[in-house]
Amino acid sequence: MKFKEVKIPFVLLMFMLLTFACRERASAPLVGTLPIQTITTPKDEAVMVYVPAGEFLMGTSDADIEYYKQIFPLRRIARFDNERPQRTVFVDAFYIDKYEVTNKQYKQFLTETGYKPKHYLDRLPYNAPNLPAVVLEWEDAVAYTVWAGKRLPTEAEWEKAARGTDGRIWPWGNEWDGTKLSGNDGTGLKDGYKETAPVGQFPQGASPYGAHDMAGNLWEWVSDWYDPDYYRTSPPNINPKGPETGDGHVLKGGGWAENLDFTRCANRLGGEPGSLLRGFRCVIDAPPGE
Amino acid sequence: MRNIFLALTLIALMALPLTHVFAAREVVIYTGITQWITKAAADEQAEICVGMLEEADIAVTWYDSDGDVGDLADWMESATGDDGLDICVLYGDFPPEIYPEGNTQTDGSIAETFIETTDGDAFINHADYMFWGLAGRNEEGGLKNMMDIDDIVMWDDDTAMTVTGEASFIAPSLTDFASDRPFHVDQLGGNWEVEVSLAQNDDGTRADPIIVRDGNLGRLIPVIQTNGGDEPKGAVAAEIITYLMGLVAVEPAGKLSTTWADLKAVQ
Repeated sequence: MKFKEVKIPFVLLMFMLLTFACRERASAPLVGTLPIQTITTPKDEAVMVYVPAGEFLMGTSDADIEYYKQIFPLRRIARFDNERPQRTVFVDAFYIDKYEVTNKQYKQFLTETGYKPKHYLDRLPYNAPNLPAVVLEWEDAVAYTVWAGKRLPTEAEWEKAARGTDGRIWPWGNEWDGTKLSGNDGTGLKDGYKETAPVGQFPQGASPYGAHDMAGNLWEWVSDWYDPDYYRTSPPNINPKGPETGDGHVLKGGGWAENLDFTRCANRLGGEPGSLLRGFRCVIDAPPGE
Repeated sequence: MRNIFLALTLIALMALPLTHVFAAREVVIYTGITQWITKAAADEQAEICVGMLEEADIAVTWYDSDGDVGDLADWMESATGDDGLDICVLYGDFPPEIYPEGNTQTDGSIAETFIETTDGDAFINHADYMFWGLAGRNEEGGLKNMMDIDDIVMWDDDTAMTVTGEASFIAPSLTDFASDRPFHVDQLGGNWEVEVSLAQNDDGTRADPIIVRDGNLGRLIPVIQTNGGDEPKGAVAAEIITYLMGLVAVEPAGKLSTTWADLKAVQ
């Protein structure tokens, strides 16, 4: 009996050690509204923050629309149709990169694998090591995640990591604050950076789980295909992975050139991304029981 | 007999300037590939534009397939330097047949040559960043090279555009909207200057639509640069084109002091 009492924690400990053999777990200071749990993955030396299993509000509600009429008076309401209706979605626990993948990390991947990206902006002013990697093609982002032993977040995972459970509009809350993100008018006067900012420069704009730059800096790829009508097709409310196919892949979060509207957590763009400058961050599943 | 000959000669001489003004002007619309607007929506707006131009007796050709880009290039070369105002309307893409992709021809492309004569020829662009090109063929370089301005960019979204007084008679279909890629007026350089600003932000540093002109050469006219918006792009473009064509036809009296009704009457 005494042996069993010792054995169960021991097995759990071994499981944890095997699963996180090379990960260093550490506590981080409070950022946002929740205690932040982090790990660091060895291959890409990425800090990841923990997002617990549970439900959250995904999409845009009727009440949000009434608010948008006030703060976006020049936007047509139909512009928000692809985010409606809002619904309660459950996602399993996962870890998500605290920051967007940087040029340093992406170049490490390119060096180690010899991978030839279709469209990676390895040039000024976007390619400093601590700037987020501008990876314009979804496939080039996926290739990195495979190398890193990770994957792209689903749209649901991304949105939960960005806004928490309470349906807030931006990662920091419901009031716009241009000092909390890399998003500006192209002058650098608002946020101090003329274009992209080094990752993690706006801790005051972190999400409830401690993910930085979920609003602004670069648009971020997720794994879901884009279908503007997807939310109206009663998609699954547990770990939704998007439609089977669609018009390109979903982009979230807005970029350095964007402000209020496009940096909302619920905002979603797809189709031909055109001049949207885009990057990504990775996720991994949390071990069972977390 | 001699009188008949003189009369015919006189008629021919009188018709000559009219031919000069009216025959050598044409509009071409290209919706073969679009960015930040679905092809279906672009075609819908193009159809509106074509209808309004035809009603105004302005010659217009609509290329609605990416297989037409060769014809577009041929038209542009033939329209360049023909002494008439010609206008090419794009919906977010910039075909490599008129501007080699990747900014490999920074000067002298078919597109740049088109706007570098005293014809005053113009590009109108809707939706995405002007001259960015599908899949980022040219990125910021397209606009920079076309204008020969090293620093000019077209970033910003959610920039509130308020219609100006000029817009009320040039483009009555235009209403206040939020531009996602407004023109940066404060980055104009060289001989480029604002000809007419139809909507702009509070301090006038951003504008959309706007007509900018390279001295007495060509024009660039971004018109409602929005991502997926359903604003009346086609109607506003047609109204601006009609205004410009009218301006040429009634030079010099038909400047901004002319009323919209007057301009319509000229057509």
